[in-house]
Amino acid sequence: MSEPVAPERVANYPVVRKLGEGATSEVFLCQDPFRDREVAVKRIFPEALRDPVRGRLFRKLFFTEASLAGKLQHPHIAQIYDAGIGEDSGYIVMEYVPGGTMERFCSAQSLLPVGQVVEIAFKCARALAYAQALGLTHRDVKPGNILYAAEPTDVRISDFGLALDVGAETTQITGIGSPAYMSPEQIREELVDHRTDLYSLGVVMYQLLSGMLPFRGENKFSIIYQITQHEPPPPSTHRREVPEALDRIVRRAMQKDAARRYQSGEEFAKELIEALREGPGEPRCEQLGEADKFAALRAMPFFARFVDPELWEVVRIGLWEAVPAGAALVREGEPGDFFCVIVEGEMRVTKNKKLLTLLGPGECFGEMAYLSQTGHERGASVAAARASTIVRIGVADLERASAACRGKFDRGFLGILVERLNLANTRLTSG
Amino acid sequence: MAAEAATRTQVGKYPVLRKLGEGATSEVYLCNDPFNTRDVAVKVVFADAFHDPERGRLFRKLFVTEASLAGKLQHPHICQIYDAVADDELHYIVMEYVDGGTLEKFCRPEALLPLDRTVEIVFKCTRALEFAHKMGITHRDIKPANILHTGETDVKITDFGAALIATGDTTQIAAIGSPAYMSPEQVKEHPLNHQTDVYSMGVVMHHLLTGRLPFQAANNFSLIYQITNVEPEPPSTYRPEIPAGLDAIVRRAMAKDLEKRYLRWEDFSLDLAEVFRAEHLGAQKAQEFADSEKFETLRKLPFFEQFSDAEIWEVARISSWRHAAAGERLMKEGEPGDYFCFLADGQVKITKKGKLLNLLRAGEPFGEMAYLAKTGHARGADVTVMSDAKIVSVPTERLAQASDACRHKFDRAFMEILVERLSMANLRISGV
Repeated sequence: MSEPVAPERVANYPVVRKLGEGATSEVFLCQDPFRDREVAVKRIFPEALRDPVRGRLFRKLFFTEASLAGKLQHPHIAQIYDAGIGEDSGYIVMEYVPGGTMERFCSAQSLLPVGQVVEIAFKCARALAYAQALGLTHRDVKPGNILYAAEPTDVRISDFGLALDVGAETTQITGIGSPAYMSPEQIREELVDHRTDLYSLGVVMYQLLSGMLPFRGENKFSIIYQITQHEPPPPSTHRREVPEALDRIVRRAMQKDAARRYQSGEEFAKELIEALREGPGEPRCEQLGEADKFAALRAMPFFARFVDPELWEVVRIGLWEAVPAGAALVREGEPGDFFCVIVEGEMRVTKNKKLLTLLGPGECFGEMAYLSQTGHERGASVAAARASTIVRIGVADLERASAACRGKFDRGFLGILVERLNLANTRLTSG
Repeated sequence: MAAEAATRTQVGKYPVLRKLGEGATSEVYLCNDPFNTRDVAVKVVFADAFHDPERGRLFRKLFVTEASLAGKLQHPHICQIYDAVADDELHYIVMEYVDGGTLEKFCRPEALLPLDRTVEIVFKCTRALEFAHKMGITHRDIKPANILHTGETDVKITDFGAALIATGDTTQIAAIGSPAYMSPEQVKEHPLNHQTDVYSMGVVMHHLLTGRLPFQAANNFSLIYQITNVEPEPPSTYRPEIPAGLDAIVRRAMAKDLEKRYLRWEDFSLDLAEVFRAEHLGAQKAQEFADSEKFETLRKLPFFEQFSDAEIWEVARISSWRHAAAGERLMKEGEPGDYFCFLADGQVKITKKGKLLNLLRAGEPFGEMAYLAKTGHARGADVTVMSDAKIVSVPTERLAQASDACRHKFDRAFMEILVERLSMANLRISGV
C-alpha cells in the first residue's frame, strides 16, 4: 500500500496525524499554535475549483456557508473555527472530537442500550432545532457525521452546511455517497427544508436501535425506489426490546410526506423524552439521563430565558438528588456554598422551627449563598415536606460555567429579588 | 518610484485589498478575512532569524507564542491580535484594522493637538499599558508610530510583543530604528520591566506636547549619551501654556532612576486626571465631560468595583453625562422609564407624593427598576436635585447592546444592592 505521507501542515496548521479520509476529503488532527489547542482540519478537493468560472462562485458560496455554520455554538454541534480556500483545495478547521462516529454502533453486534440511543437522538434533535432557528439545514445527517467525545452519548453533529463541500454538480445520488439516509424529497431532488434532517435522524435512530438500515437493496436504485415507495418494518422487528413508543417515533420521523413528520426538532425531542419516561420502570434520578434532566429543566419557568447551550451547561454542573420526606437540606446558621432548584415535590422553609413558607417545583432555595458575594450563613432551614427531586448547584461550579450561563442565572435571581423586595415593601407600607 | 517586488495579492489565506505601509523589516497589508467577514491588518515580518538553519524553528515558535500571548490582550485601547502564523516561507500577524493614522502626525510643532486632547490620549495609553502589565506583558517599543488613533481621542496601542520578535537578538539600536523613545535601562541592555514602557510613554508625551523629542542629537551615539546622562528640558520650555503639573508628570515618567519613575501605571493615570481637573483643561467645553474624567469618576464608584477597565470604558461610552442644578426634577412618578442613573456628584432626593423616601449620596444608582423589571416600568417615585449634581444616565437600550461581560457586571452589582435592600426590609419587617 503506497499511502502518501501526511503533509507537514494543512494551511497554517501543523499536522499531528491523519484522522481519516473520504472520497473527496481528508481529515487531519492538527495543532493550532496561536490558540494552543488541537483542531480537526478537513481538507476538501472540490472539482469546481478547477473550473475558473464555477470556481469563483464556489469560493463565494464556500465562505458564506462556512461562516454561517461557524455561527453555530452548541454543545452538541462540532464548532467550526475557521475556513479557507486555496488553488485546488479548501479547508475547514473544526473542534476536535476524539471519540469516533456513530458508525461504530450501527451493526447488530455493537448496539448501544436503547436508553442511550434515545439520549443521542434527543440531543441531535435539539441541536437540529437550534440550527433551524438560525436558518441552517444540515442535509447530510448520517452516523458518519455524528461524532462522540468521551462517551457515546456525548455527541457532536459535524459537517453542518458542508454537504456543499462535495461541490460537484453531480448530486449525491449519482455520486459516491449512499442514499440510505436521504429523505424522499432529497431523492427526488426537490427543495428541502429542515424536515429533511428530521427524516435522516429518523433513519439514524432506526439503525442505532436495530443495527439495520430501514431499506436495504442490492444496488442504490433499489434503495432509492424503496425510500420513495415502501414502508419500513418497525425497528422492534429486529430488536425485540425496542418499545412500541420508539417504533412510533421512528415511523413518524420517517414519514414520506414531510407534512406528516415532526415539524420541528423540539417536537421530535419532546416525544423522545416522553418515550423515555414511559420506558420500563427504571428508578428515576439514579438513572436519569442527560436528556431527561434537560427536558425537566426546559419545562421550568426559571430557565425560560436560558438558550439550549446554556441549559446543557446546567445539566452538566447540576447534581440531581432524590430526597426522602423529612430530609434536611439546609440548616439555619450553617455556612452555605450551594443552592437548589426543586424538580418535583415540596420543601418546608422554617426559621426557629416556625414555618415561613412552602416551596414547590421550579422554585429555588439557598440561593442567598450565591447572591451574597461574601461568605453566607443560611438564614433559614429547608427540609423536604415529602419525597422530592432537587437539583443541587454548587456556587464554585457555577463560577466555572460560561459567562452567558451565569448571566442567565443572575437575571433569573434579579427577577426573584425584585419580586421579593416589592413584596417586602408592600408589607412595610401596609403594616 | 523604485521597482517594487511583485505586489502581494494574498497573505496566507487572506486576500490583500491594499498595502498599508512598510518598515525596515515588515510590510502591513489591509486584507479581507472571508470567514469572519471583516477587514484585518496583516503584518508580514521579515527576519533572517526565521531562516536560520539552527534556530529558525525555535524562533518561529517563539514568534507565534509571543503573538498568542499578546492576543490575550482584549482592551478597547489595544489593537487586537487575531492570529499569527510562522511557516517556512511566511511569518505574519493578523490584527484588528484601525482606520486612521498613527500619532506621528501630531508630533510636529505645526500640527500639535490641544493640551486636553493630548492628556486624554496619554491617559488612555497609561490605562491600557497598566492592563497589559497586569497580564504580564511589557511592550518595549512604545513610540508614536505604535499608537494608532481614530476619531478625536480614540487610540489603540499596537505591536505588543511583536516588535521584540521582529528585531530578534540584534538590539533595536543596532537595527534601523531610532533609540529616541528607549529608556536608559533599555539602552544599557539591563533587564527590563514595565517601567521601560513608562519611560517611553513619557517621551511620547513630551513629543506630543511640544512637537520635539526631549533629546536632540546629531547621531545615535550622542542621543544615547543624553538618554543615560542628561536631564531634559521641561516641555513648557517649548510651549509656555503647558502647566507645571504636566511638566512634573513628564519629569517623573522620564526619571532615569527607576526609584523616582512611576512604579505604578495607576499613579501616572491619576496624576494626568488630576492635572486635567485642576487646570480646567476641558474648560472651554464646560458641559462636556472628557473621557478620562468619565473613566476616573466611574472607576471610583463602589458600584463599579468589580468592573474591569475595558468594561468601565464601555460604560463611559454608552452613558450620557450632564450637570443638573439644584431644584431640577430628574424623574417623575408614573412616567415611563427607559434609563437609569448614577449620581456622580452632588445630592438628590427621592420622594413619593411629597413624602421623602430617601436621600442619595454620590455613587448611588437611581431609576434602576426600569432596567430590573422585566417589562416596561413606570417610575415609582420623583427624583429631585438637592445640590448641583453630576448625573450619569445609562439608557437601557444601549446597555442591552453592550458586551455580555459588561451587562453581567451590572447585574451582579444590582444584585448586591437588592440583597442589601431586601435584608434591610426584612429587618424592618421583623422589627415592627
